[in-house]
Amino acid sequence: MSIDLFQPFRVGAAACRIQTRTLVRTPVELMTMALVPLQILGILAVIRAAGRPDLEVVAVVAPGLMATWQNALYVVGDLVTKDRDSGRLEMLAAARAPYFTYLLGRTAAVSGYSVVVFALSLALGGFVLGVPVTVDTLPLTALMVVATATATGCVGILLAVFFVRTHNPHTYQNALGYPIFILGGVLVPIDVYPDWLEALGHLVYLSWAADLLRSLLIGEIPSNWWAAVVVVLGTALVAGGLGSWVISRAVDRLRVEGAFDGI
Amino acid sequence: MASDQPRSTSTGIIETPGNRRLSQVALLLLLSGRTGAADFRRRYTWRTWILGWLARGILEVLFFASIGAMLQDPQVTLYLVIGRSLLIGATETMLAIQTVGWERQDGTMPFLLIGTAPAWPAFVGRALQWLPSATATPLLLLFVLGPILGLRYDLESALITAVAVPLCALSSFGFSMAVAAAVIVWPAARNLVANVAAATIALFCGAFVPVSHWPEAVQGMAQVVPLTHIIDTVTSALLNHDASSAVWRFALAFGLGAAWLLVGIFLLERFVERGRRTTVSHPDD
Repeated sequence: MSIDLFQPFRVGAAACRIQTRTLVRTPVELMTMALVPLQILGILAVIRAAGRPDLEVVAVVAPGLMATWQNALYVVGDLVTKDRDSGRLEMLAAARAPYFTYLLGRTAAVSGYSVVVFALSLALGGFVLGVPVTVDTLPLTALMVVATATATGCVGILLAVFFVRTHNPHTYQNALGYPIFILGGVLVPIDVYPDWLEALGHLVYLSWAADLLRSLLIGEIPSNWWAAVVVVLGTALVAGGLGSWVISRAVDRLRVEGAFDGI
Repeated sequence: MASDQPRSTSTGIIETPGNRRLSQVALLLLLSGRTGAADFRRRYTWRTWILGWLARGILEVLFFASIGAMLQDPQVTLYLVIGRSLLIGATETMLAIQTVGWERQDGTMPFLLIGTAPAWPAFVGRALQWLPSATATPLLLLFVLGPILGLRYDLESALITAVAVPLCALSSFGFSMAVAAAVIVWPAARNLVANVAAATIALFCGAFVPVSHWPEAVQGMAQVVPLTHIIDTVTSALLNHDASSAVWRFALAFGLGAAWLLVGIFLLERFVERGRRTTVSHPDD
């Protein structure tokens, strides 16, 4: 039997296409796109009412990052549970292609969607609402947005494997939004927090991403920009690697015992 | 028909078609309310309500109030604490939009359609399940978390807040039932509509900034939402010590909530009538 080296890529690409079609055809999956303009307007209104144009960049970064996390939490987080509940999981586990490759393909589509939402947030804030953001640092900004969406997607895969074991994943999904928004400093830089909370915030990769994105969008490239890139890409690698290991073990057990128990 | 004639019951009350219908509606509300209570108990235990819902509410308030910390403006922080706390109560009633759709998911819609009784009490009664939580959550946020973050109450402002919170839940429930009835024919978009409606209300009804911040046309539209009047009254009382218009603003919020509920009932009954005429339970599928 010959080994098809390209099979994982074909499987991943097919899964990515399926997820893209699902996103486009299901209105509820596009929710974050609809919410972003409303969130920008709300945050911007508070900052403008206080007369602080220097902080307006917060209003375009926060909704984009919130959407990225919510897409991973609700869309990627539901992937395994939906596969199980619709009876697809057994067939996918029985297939020769690794289940993780298929999950990665679907997650890539969600992360791509998050990048689009972030771009929309920037365009709406910068071009329509007159938020002072610069395109001088566009290449590094784009790299950071893609890296953050990728890392968040990988964390979403880990959550998906955890959620499949729970009685009601929505309880956890609802509970996991704001703690990460706060610790991730997506709205307010974590140096505004008390010291103990700031220290905790440094442990969440989103806080590194949020700080760097806010700086880049006002045209500042901090000297330690690479540290944020390393933290975010490192998170993607660790979460992706862990996800791959946990899922391959769970799928192996499914093949032997006929039951899928996630993490 | 004999059943349309007034008759004396064993309790001595003269039963007419009018009050028979009223008691039928009350019974249906009671029974569907019990179904709703069972739904709610299945969804939450005390532990998951506190850790899942209430804790989420606390963090949501802290998240938005942190804008005030960034701006180093305590008044902004307090305004956001009040606005967000009340908004959380109002948006919890928006879950009625999903609840109304459960009759379809559960397969109970055909039974509501073939019954001779009006169907709206079944929808309204079941959706009432959100009211206790939509009242308790903002009360805890405003009276426990609020003082920790710097809210100060005198007797008058405490009384206004204590009245405002249940009124907010009740009047927002009426508004939510109207939205729920309007989208019952579009089940795939229920979650989307519920979230976009909640975010729109948050934006224009005073949860971020006072309504006067927005253009006049938007201000005018915001006046038909009960939450607008509730947030304005509570922030005036707590931050400006002005309670002069509280009574009539509360009356207005209550009236608006009742009017929206009537709109919701009308739309629900129209939906059910169409279902009965077309003899299918999903008239628009």
